[in-house]
Amino acid sequence: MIEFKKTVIGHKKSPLISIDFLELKAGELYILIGKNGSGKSTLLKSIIGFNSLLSGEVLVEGKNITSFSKSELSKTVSFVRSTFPQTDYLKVDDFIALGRSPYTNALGRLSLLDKDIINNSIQTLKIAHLKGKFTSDLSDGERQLVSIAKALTQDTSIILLDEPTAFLDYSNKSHLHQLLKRIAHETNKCIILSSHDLDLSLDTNCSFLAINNSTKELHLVEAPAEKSALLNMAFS
Amino acid sequence: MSLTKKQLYFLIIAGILLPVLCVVHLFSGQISIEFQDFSNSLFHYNNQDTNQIIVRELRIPRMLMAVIAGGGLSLAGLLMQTLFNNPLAGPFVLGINSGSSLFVAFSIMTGIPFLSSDFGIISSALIGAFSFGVLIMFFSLFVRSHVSLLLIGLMLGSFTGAIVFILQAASSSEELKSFTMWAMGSLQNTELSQLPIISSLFILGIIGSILLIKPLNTLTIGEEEAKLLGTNYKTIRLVIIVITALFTGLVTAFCGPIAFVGLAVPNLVRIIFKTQNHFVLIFASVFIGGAFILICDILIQILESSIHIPINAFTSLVGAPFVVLIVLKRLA
Amino acid sequence: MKRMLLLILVLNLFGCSPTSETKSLPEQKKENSTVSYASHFDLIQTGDDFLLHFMSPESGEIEHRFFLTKTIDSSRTGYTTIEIPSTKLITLSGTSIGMLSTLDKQQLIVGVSNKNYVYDPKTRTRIENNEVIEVGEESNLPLEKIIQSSPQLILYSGFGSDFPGSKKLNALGIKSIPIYDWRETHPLGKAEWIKLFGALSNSYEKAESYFNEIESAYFELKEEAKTLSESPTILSGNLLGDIWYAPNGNSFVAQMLEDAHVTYKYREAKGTGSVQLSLEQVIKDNTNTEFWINPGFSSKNAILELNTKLKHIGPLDKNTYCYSHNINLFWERSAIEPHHVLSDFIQIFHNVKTSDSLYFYKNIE
Repeated sequence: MIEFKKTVIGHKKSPLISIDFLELKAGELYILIGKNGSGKSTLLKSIIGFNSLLSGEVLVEGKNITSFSKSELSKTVSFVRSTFPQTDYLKVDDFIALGRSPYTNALGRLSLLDKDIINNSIQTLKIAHLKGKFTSDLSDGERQLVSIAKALTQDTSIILLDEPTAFLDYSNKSHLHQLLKRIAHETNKCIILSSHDLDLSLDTNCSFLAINNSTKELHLVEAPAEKSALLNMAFS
Repeated sequence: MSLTKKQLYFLIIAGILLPVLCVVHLFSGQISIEFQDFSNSLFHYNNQDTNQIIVRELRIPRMLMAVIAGGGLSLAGLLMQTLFNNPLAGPFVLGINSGSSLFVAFSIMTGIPFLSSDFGIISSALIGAFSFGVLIMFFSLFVRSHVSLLLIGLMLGSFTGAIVFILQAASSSEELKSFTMWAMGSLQNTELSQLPIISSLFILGIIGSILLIKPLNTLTIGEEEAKLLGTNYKTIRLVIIVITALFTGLVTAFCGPIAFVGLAVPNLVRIIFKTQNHFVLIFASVFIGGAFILICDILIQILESSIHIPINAFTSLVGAPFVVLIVLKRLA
Repeated sequence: MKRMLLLILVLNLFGCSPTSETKSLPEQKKENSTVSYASHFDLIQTGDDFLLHFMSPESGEIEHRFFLTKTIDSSRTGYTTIEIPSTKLITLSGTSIGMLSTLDKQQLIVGVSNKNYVYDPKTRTRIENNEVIEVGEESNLPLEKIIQSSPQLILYSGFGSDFPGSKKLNALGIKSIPIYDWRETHPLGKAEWIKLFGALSNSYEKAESYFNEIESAYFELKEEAKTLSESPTILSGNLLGDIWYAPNGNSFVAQMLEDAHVTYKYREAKGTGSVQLSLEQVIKDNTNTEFWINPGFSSKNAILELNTKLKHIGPLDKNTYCYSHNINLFWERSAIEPHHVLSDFIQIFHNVKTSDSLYFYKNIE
């Protein structure tokens, strides 16, 4: 699904992460961990093409990420950012429906299929009670759920999430991780989420992408992962 | 995006209100006109009948320009506010009006006959609007906060204002008078014969905006999000600036600068319709913007026997307090 | 720009309305007053000397008192002394040049506002030869340049208050006097100011005799006009922006039109300033009006360029007259030649030959 070949990720003068060769599969949830500032967000943004690679390539479904058109890319990869837009008078339904934009016509008209997919996402995330509210009236936690619903609606084979559980309480965090894992399996998507809560992530029992604190390399640690090993690698 | 029944009804009401106000406007001058005069002026025009002349040559152009100025500036304001994610954006505050004014000032005060002709002034206004549109877009690349961009727009306005003052000091009193009059704004300076081209450009701008409904909807959640949804941001941004410059330049060229409409009306529309669906917002802005200017001009005509108020002053009188209300509401 | 709009709006809302009436002037004239028609100044002869009073055009109260004396070191309590005859004058008012040149005393002028607005050929030559300086607008005078040319007096137009710098100049011995002729509404009231210039330049008798001449000429023409049977209708004024400004019924122009025995369209409008009208109203009122004067332009094209809708003003095609083909001549000399203006009006409106050719006006093509 996603292949990294001799990839170096970072900003112009400072490389942050290097990946010799890595392949991420469909149907899996990967949790990306690393110290603060180690480049987690940058890595995710590089996959979606918002950040240029310092060297090497990233292939999605066998194709180089840079050769995707904007339209193709939006149908292949979706991204849940850590910040939420401050827009007035935007209903939750409309916000989530924007996830269908890559597929709708010039006027943005929603077909029956589009509406189905939107409802599905709402059901999956159990946020039906938020329909009809304005996004500006939601709590931080509700906003995160709504953002994820939008990403689901975008129906992409890859979903990237940047610290999606920061504002959720513990039981909801854990619930969300489990949910995303299930979605990855059931819909055969490749989902990567970044997190800095190691204990919680371990409970999810999935694979990890750890940024080695000393070598700055990205390592894949398959499930079940061992806590002390991860701690050593990423946080010492 | 969704469209509720309530929104649809409001939209229809606004759509009906506009032609009703047009008719009221036609009949609200100091000279009383019969309906006969009106229909004759259109279908059996007798160019010796004073009443018919007044309706056909004075009132109809004035009424149409009110709609075009109100609708055009409001739609330009809406586009600016969506592009910059800033409800306080507008052609006036972002300096696009100033760009037009500056170029028109040059045209009038250089004394070169071609430039101070109608055609010269219109071209200058359009070029000025577009140049400043590009300029503010350029600044937007470096500026994060909403307020900063507005400040830059206001500074652009002050800067051009200063240049205009210098030009004024150097020009003859005739030219000065001419420019001052232009700056007061007027809906009465267009000929019936010019209306076809003005209306065509106006409709062109509306059609252009309608074709942008989906990208505009994605822009409501920000540039990055819009890009993630597949919107070709750079192209869309350019098209928005072109359409905005078209409306602003067109109105500024034929009516002079008219303040606050572009800023106030889209905000009013969002407050009434409570949506970010640009299908609703575009039509509502045109209807309500046109209605707003018509109402202002109707009041101006009613007051004409005691006091003459230029349109620009009127829109500022009404618009400025409204904008203060919006700012207070947002801060609350 | 915005500030200007606000200013205009404020002025419109809170007074300064052009249609406000001037209050009636209390009887301030003393015996030995030489002034009969002018309301804003009074000139009283006392032997060789003169008492000069200026009355505020708003309140009618005396606001300045000058003692014009030939005797050095003479003075009078309550009066500012001005030595006569004057030797050097700076004038910010165009009509002053006209009046001084009528008395052949324009060589007293050492400064004018703007050489482009001067008609008098002798003065123009003197400007070319640097014998006369240019000082620009009243609101912004170059004090040092003025002091350098050491004038005795500055004649200003007085748009409401003393001009900036007048106190400084006064302290240096340069006095200033307001020339309010432009605010006189009686046709002969403006011309009568020539008596002031006569007093200043040691040619009072000449000024008086000149004035008497034009006074009789004026009344003669007025009587003649009364006998003419036709009373054509006249429109005056033009658009400024969206508003048409026409002279009010008691204004200078309206009174002259009255004396020319014509029907001025807006003579019912009260006041001495202008009445504001919409273009619609003007078009509607003047479908049958026979003449249009003072549109402010010298060609039909120029008028249409201002606003193409002016083509609907009835008399535009044939019977429009203006002085704008020689604006400087008009502004400089019409005040001192009201009989010529009246003659022009009678000739134009009644088609009666009162002189070989028109003095000021021309038909607009």
